Formats: sequence, structure tokens, C-alpha cells
Amino acid sequence: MRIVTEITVRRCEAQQDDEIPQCELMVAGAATGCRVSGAILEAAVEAGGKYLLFMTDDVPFEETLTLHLLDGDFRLLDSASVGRPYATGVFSLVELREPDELVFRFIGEMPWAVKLLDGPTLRVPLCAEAPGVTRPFRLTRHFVIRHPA
Amino acid sequence: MAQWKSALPYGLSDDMGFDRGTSCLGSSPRPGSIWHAECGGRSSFDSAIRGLEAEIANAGAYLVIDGETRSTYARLVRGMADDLAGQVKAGRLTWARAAAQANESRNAIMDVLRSRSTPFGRARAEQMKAQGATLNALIAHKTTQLFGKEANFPLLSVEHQNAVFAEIVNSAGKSNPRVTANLLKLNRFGRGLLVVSIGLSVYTVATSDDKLATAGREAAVTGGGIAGGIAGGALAGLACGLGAPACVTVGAFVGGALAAFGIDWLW
Repeated sequence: MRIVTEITVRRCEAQQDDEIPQCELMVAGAATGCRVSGAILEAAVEAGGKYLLFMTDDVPFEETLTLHLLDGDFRLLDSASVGRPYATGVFSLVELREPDELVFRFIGEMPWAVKLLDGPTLRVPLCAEAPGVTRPFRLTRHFVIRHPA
Repeated sequence: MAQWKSALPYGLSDDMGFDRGTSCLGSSPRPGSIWHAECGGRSSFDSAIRGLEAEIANAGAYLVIDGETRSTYARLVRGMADDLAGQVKAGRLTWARAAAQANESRNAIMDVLRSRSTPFGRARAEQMKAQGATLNALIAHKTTQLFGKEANFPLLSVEHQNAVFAEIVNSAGKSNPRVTANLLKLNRFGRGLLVVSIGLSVYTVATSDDKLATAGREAAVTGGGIAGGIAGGALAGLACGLGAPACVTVGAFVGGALAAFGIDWLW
């Protein structure tokens, strides 16, 4: 695992305050055509040929952190968000735990960990893996977010 | 009971005969519904339907209240930020003072609106400890965002410092669009549930013999169910402590059901 610095984002134009912000990914300044939700790229990590992006919405008083997992061709594999209404957090990457786990801080007093899975695994929709974690309605996931032991 | 039959079955006899029946001495059923109140079946069924209506209205009310609270929140924070920016432009405030005031006001509005949410909405918000953004953290965040990681706020020009403060004031007027979109979806769903509940009540009143009494009973049971749901959720929140949405959900459901069945039984 390594922190990637060559990935940046370009905010898509013509968005109102009440729209979920969208960004296009750039690699070494070149557009990839991949659009993801979020406004600010807080960190990007490469692990096993996949990229995990940590993005916030630039709403510092009520921030949401969104994690996007992309394959080597910048195709979106999985996404999940951490946040709560009327609560906010500040993102910081704490630790890369080889081979497949990252620890970060965001909202609440406890740190968070994201564990990358080898491939898609079944999940029960509408059941949050940890309080404050939400995902789009899907039957599979490529990573798990939880509080580390 | 005895009756004429034109023919006996299975071709046993071609003659017309007199069927003497089964010799049962029980009375014939009376005209009308076969489901009598004295059996307890119909009244229990009606009571269960009224309880269901009340629970549907209870869930709908929760979702509508949280959606309306969210709309108020988005309007208040935007109005506050626009007002502060207007005061700076009119020369009544500096950007630094406006940023400090925006930070205080935003955190205060957040606290007030949390308390105006339903017990479930409050429990979800409090599931993680509330962290109001500090002004210093915001200044550091916006300085990095506007002028890069190497920028140092005290070393910035006054013009650039004011740009940081102005950005903080603008940020204070934003509400998270993901949260707002989710709550507005739930608000619409809640309105749908209220319409279903009202529709069931209207049908019950329209098909009853005593429409006035039925209407009163429907209003009392549904209203009581909503009030009981809010009270049950609040009590569960007190019993389970801060940030226990599952406990509050159970409390709201039980409170709504108890109130609805209680009022129905007393009526």
C-alpha cells in the first residue's frame, strides 16, 4: 500500500449548493473521464492495483467522508459514506496496516478502519456495518468500514 | 328446515320427493354479516386496523417532522451566512468578526435544530459525539484549501486572510446536500404514509353506520398514536441514553401502539 500523490480531482462546474458535488479524476494532470461524488480529495491510497479515494463534500460544518474504490482502469467498484446529520468531522489518515487495512479519523472519538476485501462479497442491504456508514443499495461490497479492535 | 327438491341426486329416484333435511334444530342465521361483534372477532379486527392506521401515521409523522426540520435548518444557515456577508459589505462588520460570528451561530443553530428533530432523528444525530467545528480548525482548513499546504495563515496578506474568513462565512451557509436529499426523500415517503393512513380512516368513516362517532374515534386513535409514538420514543431515548436509534424506534412503535389501543379501548 502507498499514498498516491499523482491523482488529483477537478470539480465539475455548474453545481448548486444543494446538489451533491461531483469531481473528475485526473492522473498526472490528465483527465481520466471518471466522475465520483465529493468535492475535495483528502487522500488517495493504492493497494493491490486498486485505488481507494477519501473525499469530502466541502461542507465543514456538516461534513461527509466518502470512500471510493476504483480498479486499475479507474472504474468505480464500490463506495461508502461516513457522516451524520448535524454533526461534522475532520479527516486524517492515521496508519496503513499491511496488507489491506487503513486506519483514519473522521467523525466521533474512535478511529475508523477500512479493510479491503479480495473481491466482491455479499452484504445485506440497508444494514449499516457501523453507525454512520451508508452505502448505495447493492448486494456486494469490496471493502468494510468499522471501528478497529 | 324442510324444502321441496325437484330431484334427488345421483338419479336415485325420478319421483319428486319431500326432503326432510338434516333434523338439525338450530336457528337459521340472521340476515347480514356472519361476523358478529359478540364473537369478539369483528371488534378485534377493527381495533387492529385502527392500531395499524395509527402506526402508519406515527411513522409518517416522524419522517415529515425530520424533513421539515431539515428544510428549516437549510434556510436558517443560508439566511445567517447571507446576512453576515451583507453586513460586511455594508461596513458594519469585519470579515474576521463575521467568520467568528458565523461559526458560533452555525453551531448554535445545529444544536437547536437537533433538539427540534424527532426522538429518532435526534438519536441518529447523537449516535456519534457532536463536534462543533472550531474557528482555528476552519481557518487552517480553508487556508490550505485556498493557498496550498505550505501556506501559513498569519503570514498571509490581509486581503488573503479576508478571503479565508469570507470562505468560512460562505461555508457556514451550506448544509450537506447528501443529508438534505436523504431527509427530503424520507419526508416525501412520510407524507405518503400519512396519506395512506388518512385514506384508511376516510374509508372506515364512509363505510360505518354512525359516521360522526367513527370519525371522532379515528381522529382520537390516530392522533393518540402519533403523540404516543413521540412520547414513547422520547422515553426510550431517556432510558437508553444518547444516540440509541434502535431503542428509540422500538420505544416509538410501542408508545404508538399502546396509545392507539388504549384510546380505542377507552372509546
